Amino acid sequence: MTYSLNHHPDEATLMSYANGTLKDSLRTLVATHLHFCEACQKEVRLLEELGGALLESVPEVTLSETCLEKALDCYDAIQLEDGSISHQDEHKLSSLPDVKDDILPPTLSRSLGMGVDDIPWHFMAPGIRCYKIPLPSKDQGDLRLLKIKPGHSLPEHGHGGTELTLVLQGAYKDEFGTYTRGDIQDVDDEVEHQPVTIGDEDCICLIAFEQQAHFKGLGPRLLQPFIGM
Amino acid sequence: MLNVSKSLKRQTGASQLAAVQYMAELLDKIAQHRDKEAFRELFVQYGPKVKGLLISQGTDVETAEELAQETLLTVWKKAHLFSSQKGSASTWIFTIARNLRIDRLRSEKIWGKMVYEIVDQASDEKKQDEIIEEQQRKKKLLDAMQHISEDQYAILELSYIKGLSHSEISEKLDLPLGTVKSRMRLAYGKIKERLKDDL
Repeated sequence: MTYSLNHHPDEATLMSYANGTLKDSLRTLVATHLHFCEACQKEVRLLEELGGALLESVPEVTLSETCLEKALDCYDAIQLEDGSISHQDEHKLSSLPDVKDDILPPTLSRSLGMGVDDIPWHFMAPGIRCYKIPLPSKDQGDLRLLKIKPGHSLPEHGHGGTELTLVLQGAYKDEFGTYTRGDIQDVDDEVEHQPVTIGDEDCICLIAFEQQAHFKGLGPRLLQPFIGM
Repeated sequence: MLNVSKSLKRQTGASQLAAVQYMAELLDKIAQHRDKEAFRELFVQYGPKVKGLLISQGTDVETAEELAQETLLTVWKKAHLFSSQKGSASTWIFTIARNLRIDRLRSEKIWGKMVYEIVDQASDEKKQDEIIEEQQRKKKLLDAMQHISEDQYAILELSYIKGLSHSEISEKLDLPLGTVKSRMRLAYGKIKERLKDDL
Protein backbone atom coordinates (compact mmCIF):
# COMPACT_ATOMS: atom_id res chain seq x y z
CA MET A 1 0.00 0.00 0.00
CA THR A 2 1.33 3.41 -0.88
CA TYR A 3 0.51 6.65 0.86
CA SER A 4 0.27 10.24 -0.16
CA LEU A 5 3.37 11.48 1.59
CA ASN A 6 4.73 14.94 2.23
CA HIS A 7 8.33 14.19 3.07
CA HIS A 8 10.75 12.20 0.93
CA PRO A 9 14.47 11.43 0.92
CA ASP A 10 16.88 13.87 -0.67
CA GLU A 11 17.49 12.98 -4.33
CA ALA A 12 21.16 12.54 -3.48
CA THR A 13 20.15 9.89 -0.95
CA LEU A 14 17.95 8.10 -3.49
CA MET A 15 20.82 8.23 -5.97
CA SER A 16 23.14 6.49 -3.53
CA TYR A 17 20.41 3.97 -2.75
CA ALA A 18 20.06 3.21 -6.46
CA ASN A 19 23.77 2.75 -7.02
CA GLY A 20 24.36 0.71 -3.89
CA THR A 21 26.61 3.12 -2.01
CA LEU A 22 24.41 3.70 1.04
CA LYS A 23 25.41 1.91 4.20
CA ASP A 24 23.10 -0.87 5.35
CA SER A 25 21.53 1.31 8.02
CA LEU A 26 20.48 4.05 5.59
CA ARG A 27 19.67 1.61 2.80
CA THR A 28 17.28 -0.37 4.96
CA LEU A 29 15.48 2.77 6.00
CA VAL A 30 15.14 4.07 2.44
CA ALA A 31 13.82 0.65 1.34
CA THR A 32 11.24 0.84 4.09
CA HIS A 33 10.16 4.29 2.89
CA LEU A 34 9.83 2.89 -0.65
CA HIS A 35 7.32 0.42 0.69
CA PHE A 36 5.06 3.41 1.31
CA CYS A 37 6.03 5.66 -1.57
CA GLU A 38 5.30 5.03 -5.22
CA ALA A 39 6.80 8.38 -6.26
CA CYS A 40 10.19 7.44 -4.79
CA GLN A 41 10.00 3.95 -6.33
CA LYS A 42 9.66 5.65 -9.69
CA GLU A 43 12.56 7.95 -8.91
CA VAL A 44 14.77 5.01 -7.95
CA ARG A 45 13.95 3.24 -11.21
CA LEU A 46 15.07 6.30 -13.15
CA LEU A 47 18.25 6.52 -11.08
CA GLU A 48 18.90 2.84 -11.84
CA GLU A 49 18.44 3.63 -15.52
CA LEU A 50 21.09 6.30 -15.07
CA GLY A 51 23.32 3.55 -13.65
CA GLY A 52 22.62 1.43 -16.71
CA ALA A 53 23.55 4.32 -18.98
CA LEU A 54 26.76 4.98 -17.02
CA LEU A 55 27.66 1.30 -17.23
CA GLU A 56 27.99 1.81 -20.98
CA SER A 57 30.81 4.29 -20.33
CA VAL A 58 32.79 2.25 -17.81
CA PRO A 59 36.35 1.45 -18.90
CA GLU A 60 36.26 -2.24 -19.71
CA VAL A 61 38.58 -4.74 -18.09
CA THR A 62 39.27 -7.84 -20.16
CA LEU A 63 37.96 -11.08 -18.76
CA SER A 64 40.28 -14.06 -18.51
CA GLU A 65 40.19 -16.43 -21.47
CA THR A 66 38.45 -19.13 -19.48
CA CYS A 67 35.74 -16.90 -18.04
CA LEU A 68 33.30 -17.14 -20.91
CA GLU A 69 33.96 -20.87 -21.32
CA LYS A 70 33.27 -21.45 -17.63
CA ALA A 71 30.08 -19.47 -17.92
CA LEU A 72 29.02 -21.48 -20.94
CA ASP A 73 29.75 -24.69 -19.03
CA CYS A 74 27.48 -23.46 -16.24
CA TYR A 75 24.98 -22.49 -18.91
CA ASP A 76 24.98 -26.04 -20.28
CA ALA A 77 24.93 -27.65 -16.85
CA ILE A 78 21.95 -25.66 -15.73
CA GLN A 79 20.17 -26.31 -18.97
CA LEU A 80 20.80 -30.06 -18.69
CA GLU A 81 19.21 -30.29 -15.26
CA ASP A 82 15.72 -30.47 -16.60
CA GLY A 83 15.62 -28.05 -19.44
CA SER A 84 14.26 -25.37 -17.17
CA ILE A 85 15.77 -22.81 -14.91
CA SER A 86 17.17 -23.32 -11.47
CA HIS A 87 15.37 -21.08 -9.07
CA GLN A 88 17.48 -22.22 -6.15
CA ASP A 89 19.17 -18.97 -5.56
CA GLU A 90 16.29 -16.73 -6.43
CA HIS A 91 14.04 -15.04 -3.98
CA LYS A 92 15.90 -16.23 -0.93
CA LEU A 93 13.65 -14.01 1.06
CA SER A 94 10.76 -16.27 0.30
CA SER A 95 12.29 -18.84 2.61
CA LEU A 96 12.07 -16.43 5.51
CA PRO A 97 8.96 -16.72 7.60
CA ASP A 98 6.43 -14.11 6.65
CA VAL A 99 5.80 -11.90 9.66
CA LYS A 100 2.58 -10.01 9.31
CA ASP A 101 2.59 -6.76 11.16
CA ASP A 102 0.40 -3.69 10.98
CA ILE A 103 3.19 -1.29 11.87
CA LEU A 104 6.40 -2.75 10.45
CA PRO A 105 6.48 -3.21 6.65
CA PRO A 106 7.78 -6.59 5.39
CA THR A 107 11.21 -5.05 4.67
CA LEU A 108 11.63 -4.83 8.42
CA SER A 109 9.45 -7.48 10.01
CA ARG A 110 10.76 -10.31 7.85
CA SER A 111 14.39 -9.51 8.45
CA LEU A 112 13.85 -8.88 12.15
CA GLY A 113 11.78 -12.05 12.36
CA MET A 114 9.24 -10.33 14.58
CA GLY A 115 6.43 -7.86 14.70
CA VAL A 116 6.29 -4.66 16.68
CA ASP A 117 4.71 -6.36 19.72
CA ASP A 118 7.71 -8.65 20.13
CA ILE A 119 10.42 -6.01 19.96
CA PRO A 120 12.60 -6.12 23.08
CA TRP A 121 12.51 -2.39 23.79
CA HIS A 122 15.08 -0.91 26.12
CA PHE A 123 14.47 2.05 28.38
CA MET A 124 16.29 5.08 27.07
CA ALA A 125 14.74 8.02 28.88
CA PRO A 126 11.37 8.75 30.45
CA GLY A 127 8.80 8.22 27.67
CA ILE A 128 11.37 6.87 25.21
CA ARG A 129 12.24 3.28 24.39
CA CYS A 130 14.76 2.07 21.89
CA TYR A 131 15.75 -1.10 20.04
CA LYS A 132 19.07 -1.14 18.24
CA ILE A 133 18.75 -3.34 15.16
CA PRO A 134 21.75 -5.61 14.65
CA LEU A 135 23.50 -5.03 11.33
CA PRO A 136 25.99 -7.35 9.59
CA SER A 137 28.94 -5.20 10.60
CA LYS A 138 29.71 -2.15 12.71
CA ASP A 139 30.87 -0.07 9.77
CA GLN A 140 27.39 -0.16 8.28
CA GLY A 141 26.07 2.62 10.49
CA ASP A 142 23.47 2.59 13.21
CA LEU A 143 19.83 1.56 12.84
CA ARG A 144 17.29 1.91 15.63
CA LEU A 145 13.63 1.74 16.32
CA LEU A 146 12.36 4.31 18.78
CA LYS A 147 9.04 4.41 20.56
CA ILE A 148 8.21 7.78 22.06
CA LYS A 149 5.21 8.80 24.06
CA PRO A 150 3.22 11.83 22.84
CA GLY A 151 4.60 15.22 23.81
CA HIS A 152 8.20 14.08 24.21
CA SER A 153 11.33 15.16 22.48
CA LEU A 154 14.48 13.15 22.17
CA PRO A 155 17.73 13.01 24.08
CA GLU A 156 20.76 14.78 22.76
CA HIS A 157 23.10 12.70 20.73
CA GLY A 158 26.19 13.13 18.61
CA HIS A 159 26.65 11.76 15.14
CA GLY A 160 28.32 12.38 11.86
CA GLY A 161 27.10 12.32 8.32
CA THR A 162 23.63 11.66 7.06
CA GLU A 163 20.76 10.83 9.36
CA LEU A 164 17.36 9.57 8.25
CA THR A 165 14.16 9.25 10.25
CA LEU A 166 11.08 7.37 9.07
CA VAL A 167 7.75 7.47 10.91
CA LEU A 168 6.03 4.09 11.24
CA GLN A 169 3.31 5.04 13.70
CA GLY A 170 2.06 8.29 15.20
CA ALA A 171 3.54 11.65 14.29
CA TYR A 172 6.02 14.33 15.23
CA LYS A 173 6.63 17.88 14.22
CA ASP A 174 9.54 20.28 14.12
CA GLU A 175 10.53 23.55 12.47
CA PHE A 176 10.28 21.91 9.05
CA GLY A 177 6.83 20.37 9.26
CA THR A 178 4.73 17.50 10.51
CA TYR A 179 5.78 13.91 9.86
CA THR A 180 3.35 10.98 9.79
CA ARG A 181 3.46 7.29 8.78
CA GLY A 182 5.72 6.79 5.76
CA ASP A 183 7.25 10.28 5.87
CA ILE A 184 11.00 10.52 5.94
CA GLN A 185 13.27 13.23 7.25
CA ASP A 186 16.67 13.43 5.62
CA VAL A 187 19.24 15.69 7.25
CA ASP A 188 22.95 15.97 7.66
CA ASP A 189 24.79 17.11 10.74
CA GLU A 190 24.63 20.77 9.75
CA VAL A 191 20.88 20.87 10.48
CA GLU A 192 19.47 21.67 13.90
CA HIS A 193 15.86 21.24 14.86
CA GLN A 194 13.69 20.19 17.74
CA PRO A 195 11.15 17.51 16.96
CA VAL A 196 8.36 16.73 19.40
CA THR A 197 5.89 13.87 19.18
CA ILE A 198 2.27 14.86 18.67
CA GLY A 199 -1.12 13.14 18.69
CA ASP A 200 -2.56 10.54 21.04
CA GLU A 201 -0.52 7.46 20.25
CA ASP A 202 3.10 6.52 20.73
CA CYS A 203 5.30 7.56 17.85
CA ILE A 204 7.35 4.68 16.45
CA CYS A 205 10.23 5.69 14.22
CA LEU A 206 13.03 3.98 12.39
CA ILE A 207 16.21 6.03 12.60
CA ALA A 208 19.37 5.42 10.63
CA PHE A 209 22.76 7.03 11.01
CA GLU A 210 25.64 6.82 8.64
CA GLN A 211 27.92 6.37 11.62
CA GLN A 212 27.45 4.95 15.08
CA ALA A 213 25.32 7.28 17.20
CA HIS A 214 26.59 8.32 20.60
CA PHE A 215 24.05 9.44 23.12
CA LYS A 216 25.49 12.27 25.13
CA GLY A 217 22.90 12.44 27.81
CA LEU A 218 19.26 12.12 28.50
CA GLY A 219 18.40 15.78 28.81
CA PRO A 220 15.41 17.21 26.99
CA ARG A 221 17.38 19.03 24.33
CA LEU A 222 16.93 17.74 20.85
CA LEU A 223 19.08 18.26 17.85
CA GLN A 224 18.51 16.52 14.55
CA PRO A 225 15.40 15.16 12.98
CA PHE A 226 13.53 13.36 15.26
CA ILE A 227 16.43 12.86 16.96
CA GLY A 228 19.53 14.35 15.88
CA MET A 229 21.36 11.93 17.85
CA MET B 1 39.78 12.97 -13.01
CA LEU B 2 38.18 15.53 -15.28
CA ASN B 3 40.19 14.21 -18.19
CA VAL B 4 39.01 10.71 -17.48
CA SER B 5 35.42 11.92 -17.30
CA LYS B 6 35.78 13.68 -20.59
CA SER B 7 37.05 10.59 -22.33
CA LEU B 8 34.25 8.53 -20.83
CA LYS B 9 31.70 10.99 -22.06
CA ARG B 10 33.03 10.76 -25.57
CA GLN B 11 32.35 7.06 -25.57
CA THR B 12 28.62 7.61 -25.28
CA GLY B 13 28.07 8.22 -28.94
CA ALA B 14 25.56 7.39 -31.60
CA SER B 15 26.72 3.79 -31.94
CA GLN B 16 25.77 3.12 -28.36
CA LEU B 17 22.38 4.68 -28.88
CA ALA B 18 21.74 2.25 -31.69
CA ALA B 19 22.89 -0.66 -29.51
CA VAL B 20 20.13 -0.19 -26.93
CA GLN B 21 17.49 -1.90 -28.99
CA TYR B 22 19.88 -4.61 -30.13
CA MET B 23 20.79 -5.57 -26.56
CA ALA B 24 17.12 -5.81 -25.66
CA GLU B 25 16.67 -8.15 -28.61
CA LEU B 26 19.51 -10.35 -27.37
CA LEU B 27 17.74 -10.65 -24.03
CA ASP B 28 14.57 -11.66 -25.78
CA LYS B 29 16.42 -14.35 -27.72
CA ILE B 30 17.89 -15.71 -24.50
CA ALA B 31 14.51 -15.67 -22.80
CA GLN B 32 12.45 -17.15 -25.58
CA HIS B 33 14.85 -19.53 -27.29
CA ARG B 34 17.60 -20.08 -24.73
CA ASP B 35 19.84 -18.80 -27.49
CA LYS B 36 23.44 -19.59 -26.56
CA GLU B 37 24.95 -17.32 -29.19
CA ALA B 38 22.89 -14.42 -27.90
CA PHE B 39 24.15 -15.19 -24.40
CA ARG B 40 27.74 -15.29 -25.67
CA GLU B 41 27.28 -11.93 -27.35
CA LEU B 42 25.75 -10.34 -24.27
CA PHE B 43 28.54 -11.81 -22.16
CA VAL B 44 31.26 -10.39 -24.40
CA GLN B 45 29.53 -7.01 -24.48
CA TYR B 46 28.81 -6.59 -20.76
CA GLY B 47 31.19 -8.95 -18.89
CA PRO B 48 34.21 -6.62 -19.27
CA LYS B 49 32.08 -3.58 -18.36
CA VAL B 50 30.79 -5.21 -15.19
CA LYS B 51 34.30 -6.33 -14.28
CA GLY B 52 35.55 -2.79 -14.94
CA LEU B 53 32.80 -1.31 -12.80
CA LEU B 54 33.48 -3.63 -9.87
CA ILE B 55 37.23 -3.00 -9.98
CA SER B 56 36.56 0.76 -10.05
CA GLN B 57 34.51 0.28 -6.92
CA GLY B 58 37.37 -1.41 -5.11
CA THR B 59 36.61 -5.08 -5.71
CA ASP B 60 39.74 -7.17 -6.26
CA VAL B 61 40.37 -8.48 -9.78
CA GLU B 62 39.58 -12.11 -9.04
CA THR B 63 36.32 -11.37 -7.24
CA ALA B 64 35.35 -8.84 -9.90
CA GLU B 65 35.67 -11.49 -12.58
CA GLU B 66 33.72 -14.00 -10.52
CA LEU B 67 30.95 -11.49 -9.93
CA ALA B 68 30.89 -10.42 -13.58
CA GLN B 69 30.40 -14.05 -14.53
CA GLU B 70 27.72 -14.50 -11.88
CA THR B 71 25.97 -11.34 -13.06
CA LEU B 72 25.69 -12.58 -16.63
CA LEU B 73 24.63 -16.06 -15.52
CA THR B 74 21.89 -14.44 -13.44
CA VAL B 75 20.78 -12.63 -16.57
CA TRP B 76 20.55 -15.98 -18.32
CA LYS B 77 18.79 -17.71 -15.45
CA LYS B 78 16.26 -14.95 -15.01
CA ALA B 79 15.83 -13.92 -18.62
CA HIS B 80 12.48 -15.69 -18.81
CA LEU B 81 11.26 -13.60 -15.91
CA PHE B 82 12.61 -10.27 -16.96
CA SER B 83 13.75 -9.86 -20.48
CA SER B 84 10.41 -9.27 -22.07
CA GLN B 85 9.60 -6.80 -19.34
CA LYS B 86 12.83 -4.86 -19.15
CA GLY B 87 13.47 -2.12 -21.61
CA SER B 88 17.16 -1.72 -21.06
CA ALA B 89 19.67 -4.56 -20.77
CA SER B 90 22.31 -2.36 -19.17
CA THR B 91 19.96 -1.10 -16.42
CA TRP B 92 19.06 -4.63 -15.50
CA ILE B 93 22.69 -5.80 -15.58
CA PHE B 94 23.71 -2.78 -13.50
CA THR B 95 21.17 -3.65 -10.78
CA ILE B 96 22.14 -7.34 -10.74
CA ALA B 97 25.83 -6.46 -10.40
CA ARG B 98 25.00 -3.96 -7.65
CA ASN B 99 23.06 -6.56 -5.67
CA LEU B 100 25.68 -9.27 -6.09
CA ARG B 101 28.42 -6.89 -4.98
CA ILE B 102 26.52 -5.94 -1.84
CA ASP B 103 25.76 -9.61 -1.15
CA ARG B 104 29.41 -10.49 -1.46
CA LEU B 105 30.37 -7.79 1.00
CA ARG B 106 27.97 -9.05 3.66
CA SER B 107 28.31 -12.15 5.72
CA GLU B 108 24.56 -12.07 6.26
CA LYS B 109 23.32 -11.89 2.73
CA ILE B 110 19.80 -11.13 3.68
CA TRP B 111 20.58 -7.45 4.24
CA GLY B 112 21.77 -7.03 0.71
CA LYS B 113 18.87 -8.80 -0.93
CA MET B 114 16.10 -7.53 1.21
CA VAL B 115 16.21 -3.89 0.52
CA TYR B 116 15.97 -3.95 -3.23
CA GLU B 117 13.03 -6.31 -3.30
CA ILE B 118 10.38 -3.64 -3.55
CA VAL B 119 11.73 -1.83 -6.56
CA ASP B 120 12.53 -5.12 -8.27
CA GLN B 121 8.96 -6.27 -7.77
CA ALA B 122 7.65 -3.03 -9.13
CA SER B 123 9.87 -3.46 -12.17
CA ASP B 124 8.38 -6.88 -12.85
CA GLU B 125 5.02 -5.35 -13.47
CA LYS B 126 6.04 -3.09 -16.31
CA LYS B 127 3.68 -2.81 -19.21
CA GLN B 128 4.77 -2.94 -22.84
CA ASP B 129 4.35 0.80 -23.38
CA GLU B 130 6.51 1.45 -20.33
CA ILE B 131 9.24 -0.73 -21.82
CA ILE B 132 9.29 1.23 -25.04
CA GLU B 133 9.34 4.45 -23.05
CA GLU B 134 12.28 3.16 -21.06
CA GLN B 135 14.23 2.28 -24.18
CA GLN B 136 13.62 5.72 -25.58
CA ARG B 137 14.53 7.25 -22.26
CA LYS B 138 17.79 5.32 -22.21
CA LYS B 139 18.76 6.96 -25.48
CA LYS B 140 17.91 10.36 -24.05
CA LEU B 141 19.84 9.56 -20.88
CA LEU B 142 22.95 8.81 -22.89
CA ASP B 143 22.42 12.02 -24.77
CA ALA B 144 21.80 14.02 -21.57
CA MET B 145 25.08 12.83 -20.10
CA GLN B 146 26.93 14.45 -22.95
CA HIS B 147 25.37 17.78 -22.07
CA ILE B 148 26.09 18.01 -18.37
CA SER B 149 29.18 19.83 -17.14
CA GLU B 150 32.42 18.06 -16.33
CA ASP B 151 31.90 18.75 -12.62
CA GLN B 152 28.43 17.24 -12.73
CA TYR B 153 29.65 14.21 -14.62
CA ALA B 154 32.54 13.85 -12.18
CA ILE B 155 30.21 13.66 -9.20
CA LEU B 156 28.08 11.01 -10.90
CA GLU B 157 31.20 9.09 -11.75
CA LEU B 158 32.42 9.15 -8.14
CA SER B 159 29.06 7.93 -6.91
CA TYR B 160 28.13 5.36 -9.55
CA ILE B 161 31.42 4.19 -11.00
CA LYS B 162 33.82 4.63 -8.08
CA GLY B 163 31.13 3.55 -5.63
CA LEU B 164 31.86 6.25 -3.06
CA SER B 165 29.40 7.32 -0.37
CA HIS B 166 28.48 10.98 0.18
CA SER B 167 30.97 11.23 3.03
CA GLU B 168 33.75 9.61 1.04
CA ILE B 169 33.15 12.03 -1.85
CA SER B 170 33.11 14.89 0.61
CA GLU B 171 36.47 13.78 1.95
CA LYS B 172 37.97 13.15 -1.48
CA LEU B 173 36.94 16.51 -2.90
CA ASP B 174 37.41 18.32 0.39
CA LEU B 175 33.90 19.71 0.22
CA PRO B 176 31.21 19.92 2.91
CA LEU B 177 28.72 17.04 2.84
CA GLY B 178 25.90 19.46 1.97
CA THR B 179 27.80 20.71 -1.08
CA VAL B 180 28.37 17.15 -2.31
CA LYS B 181 24.67 16.37 -2.02
CA SER B 182 23.71 19.58 -3.73
CA ARG B 183 26.05 18.81 -6.65
CA MET B 184 24.49 15.38 -6.98
CA ARG B 185 21.01 16.91 -7.01
CA LEU B 186 22.11 19.46 -9.57
CA ALA B 187 23.58 16.82 -11.90
CA TYR B 188 20.47 14.68 -11.60
CA GLY B 189 18.28 17.75 -12.08
CA LYS B 190 20.06 18.63 -15.33
CA ILE B 191 19.55 15.12 -16.62
CA LYS B 192 15.89 15.09 -15.63
CA GLU B 193 15.42 18.42 -17.33
CA ARG B 194 16.36 16.81 -20.63
CA LEU B 195 13.99 13.95 -19.97
CA LYS B 196 11.11 16.08 -18.80
CA ASP B 197 8.81 15.15 -21.66
CA ASP B 198 9.20 11.48 -20.70
CA LEU B 199 8.60 11.80 -16.98
